[in-house]
Amino acid sequence: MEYALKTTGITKKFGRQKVLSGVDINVPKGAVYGLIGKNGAGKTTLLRIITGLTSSASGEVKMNTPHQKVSAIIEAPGYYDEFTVMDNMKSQCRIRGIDIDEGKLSEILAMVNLTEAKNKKASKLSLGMKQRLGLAMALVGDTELVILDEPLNGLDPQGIIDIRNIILNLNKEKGITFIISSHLLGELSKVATVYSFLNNGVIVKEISQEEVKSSGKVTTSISVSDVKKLAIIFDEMNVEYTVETPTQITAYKELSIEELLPKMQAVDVQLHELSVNQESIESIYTNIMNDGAGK
Amino acid sequence: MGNLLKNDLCRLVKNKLYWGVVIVFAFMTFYTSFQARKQCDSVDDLLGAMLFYLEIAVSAFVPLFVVSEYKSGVVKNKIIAGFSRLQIYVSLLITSVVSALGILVAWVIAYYPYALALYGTKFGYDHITNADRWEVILAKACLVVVCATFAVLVSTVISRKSVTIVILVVGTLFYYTFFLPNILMTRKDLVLEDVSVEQMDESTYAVTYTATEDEEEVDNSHKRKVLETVDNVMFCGHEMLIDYYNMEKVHEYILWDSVAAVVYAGFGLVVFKLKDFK
Repeated sequence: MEYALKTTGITKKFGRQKVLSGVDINVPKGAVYGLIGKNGAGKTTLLRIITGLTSSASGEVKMNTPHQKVSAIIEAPGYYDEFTVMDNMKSQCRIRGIDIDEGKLSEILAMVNLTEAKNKKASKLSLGMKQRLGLAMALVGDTELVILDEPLNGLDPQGIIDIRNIILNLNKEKGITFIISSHLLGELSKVATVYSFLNNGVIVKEISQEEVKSSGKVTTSISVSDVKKLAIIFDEMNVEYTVETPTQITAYKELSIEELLPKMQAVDVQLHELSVNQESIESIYTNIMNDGAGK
Repeated sequence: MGNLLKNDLCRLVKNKLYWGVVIVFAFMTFYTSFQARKQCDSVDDLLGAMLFYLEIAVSAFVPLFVVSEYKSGVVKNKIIAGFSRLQIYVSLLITSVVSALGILVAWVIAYYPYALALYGTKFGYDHITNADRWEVILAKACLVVVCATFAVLVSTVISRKSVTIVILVVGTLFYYTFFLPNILMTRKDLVLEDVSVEQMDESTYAVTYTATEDEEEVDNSHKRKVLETVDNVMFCGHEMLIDYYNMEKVHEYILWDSVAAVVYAGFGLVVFKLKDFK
């Protein structure tokens, strides 16, 4: 698969402390690449190295995207407080050497729902609007790769939904590749197509959304009137299970009501509830972090 | 680099605070010239005025401009857009110098029409040519450049508006209230040579002379050397207030100012390159 960005062997030390050790990531073109890790894992440092804000002790960053088409918001968006939203957009055009086309800039502002605020001073914007302004500035000049460091931090629920929808739209409609670092797994799982887990400066796992779905374990939680009789049915079906309570059992397989109901009716077992659970990105993260802690 | 400069200059032009400083400074020029009109009797007498206010204006504005650039996070945008730190710093430095020179231009514009209206074309010192007068203004421009370069350096090191402004303004006040009087007290007397008086008409005489420092006077010479060295390395050119009719001194100050500006710019660049922009 064609890549948008690749790093090999990125290492960074702050004094004697190693923050990143040999980090390799591979960001496919058109992906929403979720960089996951707890606070202090090295996410921001890695993004700062990728964007050239910090140098690394060793390693290489390869971009398959022209530098002019890469934008980033690291830690906080950069804009002039004294300028209006539109003036900040124009300033970004000047920095990037792009002709100022107010029509095109207005289109970008519309994409991030800032049309009505375009003549407002940046200092007067809410936190969510400032984040959207940063995103709009990042989109100036037909951007192909956008790097966002914790873009949802400090936002209210509506702000989170807005940013998430903007990212999804831009990724689907314009094919923009995103690298997003976050510790908000639930939110990240709604947009990311590839996940990368960073723990103590090391990439522990890189996994696509499809792989999560295909390799993730599926369990079926069943609530019944008689667990013992259902356990006998599972033994006959060769299904692994765990008895949770006298009325609750978990089977390590996806089971349907159509498949189970006739067998349960035959032994007079009443079904109260059945739910199929896909192993989530949260549980993968937890397992990885626990393994890391164990080591 | 051109894009950066265009953006930084555009930001300067759109900065209302800057135009406020320029207007206030122009009014200050009128005011102090008006106040000094009784002690002065020629355009040349007023030429040395306003250095103090010029330095205060530059010391107050440049940190606001530079530190807000750092705090805004736009520097990160510039780095991400692929510009080197050298390019970013040079662009910011040029813009700061332009802002300081703009204040100087406000002085020239506010001062000359007023002085010419007050004294006509009476310039006061016959041994100074018009070219010399432009050199004195050039020396002032060099002083302003050093002042701006130093302000950018301090702003880059401290990165806090209020602290930087206090340091620079207090430093300037300290210079004028303590350092400058010490230099004045230790200066050597001038010896006038080749004095000739020519009667122009019934009531006007033209006096020509060569002024040199009294080589035999050695009192305070060590103290003066120390003060002169500090004056040269730091904000030099202040003695123009007294010695501006001594063109040799003016040339010396231009040279020292140029060297000091390069040194401050170099230090500033080193600090900027090491700076971690959050």
